Amino acid sequence: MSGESSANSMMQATSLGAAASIRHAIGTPATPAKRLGTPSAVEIEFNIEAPVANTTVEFTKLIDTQFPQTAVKIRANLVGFRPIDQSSPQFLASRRRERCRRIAAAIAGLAKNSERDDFFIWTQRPLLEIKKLIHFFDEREQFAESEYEGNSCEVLRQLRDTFLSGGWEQYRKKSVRDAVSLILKHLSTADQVTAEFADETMDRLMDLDLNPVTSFSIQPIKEDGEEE
Amino acid sequence: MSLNYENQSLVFFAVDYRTDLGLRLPAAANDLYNLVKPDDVRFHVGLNYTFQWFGKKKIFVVSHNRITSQTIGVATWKQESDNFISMTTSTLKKLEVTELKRIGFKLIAFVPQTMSHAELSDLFFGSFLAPMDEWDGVCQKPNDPFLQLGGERNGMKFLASLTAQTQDQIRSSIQASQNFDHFSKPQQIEPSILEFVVQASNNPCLMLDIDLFREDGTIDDVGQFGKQALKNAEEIVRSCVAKLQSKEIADVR
Repeated sequence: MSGESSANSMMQATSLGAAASIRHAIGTPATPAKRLGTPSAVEIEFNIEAPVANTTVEFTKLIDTQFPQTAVKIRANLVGFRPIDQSSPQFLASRRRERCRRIAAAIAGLAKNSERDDFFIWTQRPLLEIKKLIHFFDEREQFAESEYEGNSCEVLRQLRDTFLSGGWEQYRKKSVRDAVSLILKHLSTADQVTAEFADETMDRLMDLDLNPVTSFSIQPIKEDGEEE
Repeated sequence: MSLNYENQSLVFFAVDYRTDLGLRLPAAANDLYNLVKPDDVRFHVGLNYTFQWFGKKKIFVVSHNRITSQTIGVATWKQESDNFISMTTSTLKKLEVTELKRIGFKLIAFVPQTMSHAELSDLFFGSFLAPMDEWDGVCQKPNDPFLQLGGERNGMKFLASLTAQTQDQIRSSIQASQNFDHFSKPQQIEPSILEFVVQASNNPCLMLDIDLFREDGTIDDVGQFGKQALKNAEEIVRSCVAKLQSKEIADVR
């Protein structure tokens, strides 16, 4: 880059669908005679707000249609931000704690009907609450990071599946209800739910003879790689 | 759990008394002036002396029926509370007041939250208020809740109001707060006060206006009340933030 006077300018550009502003442009454009034959360089740096993680993209383009040749070095700093319509991690975590407390209460409430023939009907309430919370997160899940409740969703899907395919029968047992309540206790108090907790939950549920992966069915694979 | 409102709050401490003071009020104000040497004292119609320390985020007001200490920020109150309590009791003695009509402590806290105003409002439902889906008979998509609650805590009566505020609303609340102009020189705003406004209105917040009081008492109760009220108010703030975020209240004590 030449050491001549720098040019600072503010311009508007559009990239990745987001408004971008050239916050910092330094260097000099091509100038005549004085630097005849000497390539000059221009550096342009963009700071662009975009719904992505922080990244820098850089490339240099040599413009040889003018004399002297000018190397234009462009550096784009993609500054990650959260769009207005995307939920904040704190909001999602607060909702998770509140709803999981409701689910835990619904599961505890199964005790008084556990001997009834129509017990299946009574299991629909906690199941519905779980499905509603999964739907709530599904609508808002933007990233797989744990802070965006990806792991909570995983645990909730496991709990949902334990009710399916006749799994609700297991909830007649106090030991099952207590164990699931403990899992929900964690979901209704933790600041963040980790992937390790989701794994442990899977093991715990399987130890209770529950099936936390009912909705995941393995289809036979044909020789050409397609599922039947 | 750090709530970061120590410098984003307003504190008021006041004692109310009978109004037949005669000439004792100007004499007491004069004695106080000689004792504390403020930057300025403003005298207002209605017998009201405002002792000012510009840029120090504190004022002290003596009037015909009330003595008020006021700070910007809980942090300032903690530094100055002993001083203010001693100024209050010594002035009451000069005024020959022993029986009090009311002792009150008010904390207005702007607790910053890393979520939008809409999310904050949404969280009122299911925490302080019935879940959103239970309001269908009243209205659809309820928003912008405002909660007012009266009660008692550790022998003090309290009246609290809670709401979610946008940055603009925070600025308006601060500027409309009682005596806010008196923290700066006339027609000016001190840099430290401006910094407070900017910092407090940096994020949407949960605004809590907590008024703790008792409607009797003597001059001997002032010190103890001042200390206990701050503790109570801070616990109420922590409990309310925990409740809004559906955290167990015991977790944050």
